[in-house]
Amino acid sequence: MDVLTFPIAGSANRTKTKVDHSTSDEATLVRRVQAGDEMAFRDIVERFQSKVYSIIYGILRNRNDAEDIAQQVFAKVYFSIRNFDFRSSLLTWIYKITVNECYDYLRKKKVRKLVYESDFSEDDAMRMENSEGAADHKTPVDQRLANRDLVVKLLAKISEEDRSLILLKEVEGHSVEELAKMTGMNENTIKVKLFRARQKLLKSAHRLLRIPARSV
Amino acid sequence: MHRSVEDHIEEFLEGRLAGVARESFEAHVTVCRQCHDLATQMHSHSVLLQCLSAPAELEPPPGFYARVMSRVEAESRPSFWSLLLDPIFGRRLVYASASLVILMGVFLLSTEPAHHELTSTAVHALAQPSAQQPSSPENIEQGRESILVTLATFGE
Repeated sequence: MDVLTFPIAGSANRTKTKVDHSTSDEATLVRRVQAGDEMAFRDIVERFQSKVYSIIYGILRNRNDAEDIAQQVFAKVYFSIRNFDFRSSLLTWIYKITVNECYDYLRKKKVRKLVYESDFSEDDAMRMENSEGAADHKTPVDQRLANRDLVVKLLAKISEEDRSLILLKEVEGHSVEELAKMTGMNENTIKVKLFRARQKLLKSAHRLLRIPARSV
Repeated sequence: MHRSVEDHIEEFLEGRLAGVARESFEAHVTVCRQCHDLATQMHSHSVLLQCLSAPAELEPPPGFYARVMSRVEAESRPSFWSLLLDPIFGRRLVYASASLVILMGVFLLSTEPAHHELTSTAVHALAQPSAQQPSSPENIEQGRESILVTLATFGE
């Protein structure tokens, strides 16, 4: 049996934005929007626009689509914010809407070879080469595009909640403790949910790649 | 997967597993093939998922808020279908349609020429021979007699 290599903390580009714990400030902002204050809505858009745009671009790698979906996300935020119940952080709520909008878009367009059809330019490829970790430099761009395609397909096979949780953990780099604070769930629930989501992803991967599932 | 590994898989994937927990995790995956494979596969997926992170924090093009508000306004405007679903509008539409049908019916009836009504009907065709017969008292008498004869001979 191969020796299991232990991942090193922080090796996987995990130095990401920390959760803003000043919920009272966020809550005040939300309440102002709920009361019909358009300036407060503008604050929310300006506060989260780059985050939302980056999340969408990370999934779709297409600037035009990212702009269009980002507009749709904030329109949804505008119309649904009266139902926001403060159980999770505003970022978590917006994050869920964003990821759902991306997958709605993919479902509607029935994009099969998502990345190959996108406007992924040489410029983007170069930027990707420069921004990712040293280990990633060894992976050819084609392989990375195929990996992205696979990941997008796998994530489409799990529930909206699981998808958001996995992305917040793996892509945004939030820890279990941070996720517990962000979602209002306890740490054990988060761990169980993440574990089940990972199992589902593995099962989907086995089915998609036709690998016999031995241990899932 | 065994409980000891399941409990610590997140710390393992985060690279934060240390001390006794790490030793016990390591000892278990050395002897348990199933947990070893699962932990390895989950780690591979964890690495793979990071390809979805954007190369850098990106900003949407200038004027983004204005475009969001345009979309909000466009979506606030009621669509044709939402108008149809409005109960008051729907009721008005039903009344208007019913009134139109009645008016058209009245118009058609009033403009239809009266003498055309029976020209092409079987009733008119049947009615014509009797109209040609003169209704003289002798004919009436003959008719009455033939009816009486028919009735009298009916039983035979």
